[in-house]
Amino acid sequence: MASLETTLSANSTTDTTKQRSLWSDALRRFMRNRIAVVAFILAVGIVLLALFAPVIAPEGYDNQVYTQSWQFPSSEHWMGTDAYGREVFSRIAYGARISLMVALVVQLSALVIGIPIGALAGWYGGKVDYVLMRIVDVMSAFPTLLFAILMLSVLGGGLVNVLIAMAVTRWISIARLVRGQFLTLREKDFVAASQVIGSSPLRIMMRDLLPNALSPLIVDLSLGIPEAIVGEAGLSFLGIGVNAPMPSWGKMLNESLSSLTTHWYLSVFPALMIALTMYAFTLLGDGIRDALDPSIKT
Amino acid sequence: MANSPRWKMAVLVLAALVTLSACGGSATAPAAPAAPAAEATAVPAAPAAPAAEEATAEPAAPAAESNLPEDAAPAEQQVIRVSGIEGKHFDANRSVYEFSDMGFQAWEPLVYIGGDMQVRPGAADSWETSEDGLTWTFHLRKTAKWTDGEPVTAHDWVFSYLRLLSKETANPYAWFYRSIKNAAGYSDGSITDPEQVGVKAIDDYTIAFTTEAPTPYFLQIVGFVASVPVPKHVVEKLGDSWASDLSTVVSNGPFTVTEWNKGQNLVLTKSKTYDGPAKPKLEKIIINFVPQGTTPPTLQMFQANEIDWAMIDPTLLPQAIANPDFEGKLDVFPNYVTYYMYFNTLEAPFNDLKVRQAFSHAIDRDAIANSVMQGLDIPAYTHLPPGFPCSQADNPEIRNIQAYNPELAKQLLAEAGYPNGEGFPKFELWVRQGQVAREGEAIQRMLKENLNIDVELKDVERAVYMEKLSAKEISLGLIQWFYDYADPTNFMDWWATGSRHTWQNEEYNELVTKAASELDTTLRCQLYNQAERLLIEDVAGAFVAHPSQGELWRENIGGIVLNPNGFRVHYPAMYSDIYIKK
Repeated sequence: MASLETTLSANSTTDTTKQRSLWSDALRRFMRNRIAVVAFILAVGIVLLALFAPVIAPEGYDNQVYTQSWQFPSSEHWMGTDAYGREVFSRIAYGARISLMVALVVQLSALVIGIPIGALAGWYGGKVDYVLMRIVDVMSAFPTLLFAILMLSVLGGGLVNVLIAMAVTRWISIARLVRGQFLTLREKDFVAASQVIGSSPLRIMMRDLLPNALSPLIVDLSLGIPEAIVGEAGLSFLGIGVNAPMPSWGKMLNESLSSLTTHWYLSVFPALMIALTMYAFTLLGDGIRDALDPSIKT
Repeated sequence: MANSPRWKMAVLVLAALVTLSACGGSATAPAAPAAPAAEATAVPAAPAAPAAEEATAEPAAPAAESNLPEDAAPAEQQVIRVSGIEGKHFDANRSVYEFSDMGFQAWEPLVYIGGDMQVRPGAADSWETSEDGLTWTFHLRKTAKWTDGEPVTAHDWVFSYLRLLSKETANPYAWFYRSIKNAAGYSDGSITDPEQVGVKAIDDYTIAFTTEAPTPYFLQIVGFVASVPVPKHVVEKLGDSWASDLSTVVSNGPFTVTEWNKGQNLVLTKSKTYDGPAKPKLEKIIINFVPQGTTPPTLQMFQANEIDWAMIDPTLLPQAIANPDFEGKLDVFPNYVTYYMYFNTLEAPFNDLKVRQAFSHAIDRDAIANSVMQGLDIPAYTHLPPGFPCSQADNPEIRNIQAYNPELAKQLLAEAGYPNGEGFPKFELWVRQGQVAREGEAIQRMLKENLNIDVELKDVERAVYMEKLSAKEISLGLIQWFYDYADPTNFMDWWATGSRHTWQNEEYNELVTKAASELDTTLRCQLYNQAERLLIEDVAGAFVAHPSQGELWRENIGGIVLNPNGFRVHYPAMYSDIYIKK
């Protein structure tokens, strides 16, 4: 009795240690990476700015106070005001919402499209794989930015269309990744074991394969975030992204160009925010990758 | 680890964005068919060409008698570099929008309009009008020759005018000549007999035009940059293809087209066969091409010493003014341009005058002009800009009709059935490729603030915009009118039924028709003032602003004739006046 209990408890102990150690190892590695921690803190700051924009911003993003237009940064307006007397700081804060929203929605919709397609191709192989992968090949032949520009010129600008245009190409890398993972994983013994006990393909995919493909997926997603942010900023900068008066950073940068030499602050702050956000999320993504998969560390 | 390719991508994207930056603002370039605005006369810049050095290295043209002033640089340095839009051909009859605009310098119209707005002889030595004002007779210079040595005769001119007006040619600028008798009918095909059109050769060197009604501004029409002839003997032999290849292009002007480096530049050289009054002092004009339909990078090109004259986009003016390098080189002046908002008056809700009035009273033009545009716009309450012939822009009573009054605006909107904007359909406010977009963003907010109406700003590519505009498919839009010539007809005719917009008013039509042929200047202006009052009271358009314009001039350019207000303003005939100083 006692010996059995000991064995059981010993078993469960080793189990939990093992489980914990995968993620806690990752966490430990992440915490040791100082650059990643700084990036994480920055990213959290940007997320907070976006979440609490209405509280943080002294003004609405489209409040035009004509008597206060073109004001340089001061204690009253930290980042100055633009041509319409709108507070630049308020617009920056609300702009964070647009950037992050684009980043998240694009990743999520890419997951929703990319995972099933990759999973089907990787699990069934053969003809299914062939057909799906040719579609992926065709889609990936288009340069992402050009494809988004094409879509927007057909659909017209606006936030929703920007999201659509960017999500349409984003799922490709996810689908490829999931397919690749599934292709290797399905040959593993634990999959065979699961099949033997009569699990349905759906159950195997969801319970056995996907959790094991999770860490490269997380890495890909975290690195997709800065890409989406700069993509939206780029499209808005080109004037085909979000519509006025929405305060996208890219759009603010575009508007500032005509006064680049006369009102420096109009271009500096949005550019700084784009750079900081890119920096934070890219390094965060790198940090997560290094933490989850030390084998590919260069 | 931080050097993942994404970093490079980000940097590249940002760099690309900065270089593409120029495609933000408004465009001053000529445009799609049916773009009636006159931007065709003066046009901005293009990517560089190393042509200046090449040009100076070449020996000067046969040093005939020199007409250079004393302070001029030697002949081989008489080269000016400007910017322009690359066209498809050099056939002025077919389309002014497909012509490489600055290439017009190689052709000579009957008369020239100078920078001072004065008419000078061109291909015609002299001209006279009949007593009833209906016939204009032009006496051509008998020694004039095409560049292939053939004489330029009245038959070339009649051939050209008939060709340009004909239905087959479908010239989008044919409307411009509708004061000529039966021109409109000949263009729409209802008249097929060219004999009935009011242009005739009296003899080899005399042409007579008959007009529908007295047309006091007729010299402005024949002096227009695109009112130039094509060589009858060449066109009859080669058809339309004559103008597509430089080897067959034949011109009659002070310059000839000598080089066409596609995608890069156009080189015009002083003509050896030209013996007319516009004999140039310049040896060469190099026209560097700029992309069409975007804000041309003229400011940067001027700074990089790639062009000697640059037209500056209104949105870039504050930067140019603040730049100490441009002191003495930059002329900023109020231009004869009007920005206005128009409505589809055939459909609800804009068929209701009260709605249009509400919109016009909701726009704070002073805030736009002085705050948003930093004082570089002038608030507009009339269609004719201040200082333009027959303008009543300074009349306080007129200015009051569409004046900013948010309370009245709210009240009018409520009376129209939309109290506090409730139930008002959502509209897109159309903007043509960044033009008037600055003002548009302020108006968007003003409509929200004062009327609680949401409009979405829709910035559309030029060609699409013009197509929708001529199809009358835009419900609410902003656009500019840029004058072709300094006569009220040019502004006012555009509101007559069947022209640019949907607004209709019989009384207005009668007034402008009557005014156009009125010979007494005072009476004529009175008629135009009455017509304009209708335009303003009935809110055909809500007039927003008259923008300023800026032009940069290299200091060594001499000989330019100042405009009546004393500014250096580009005018098509100036290439015969200017020279490079020592």
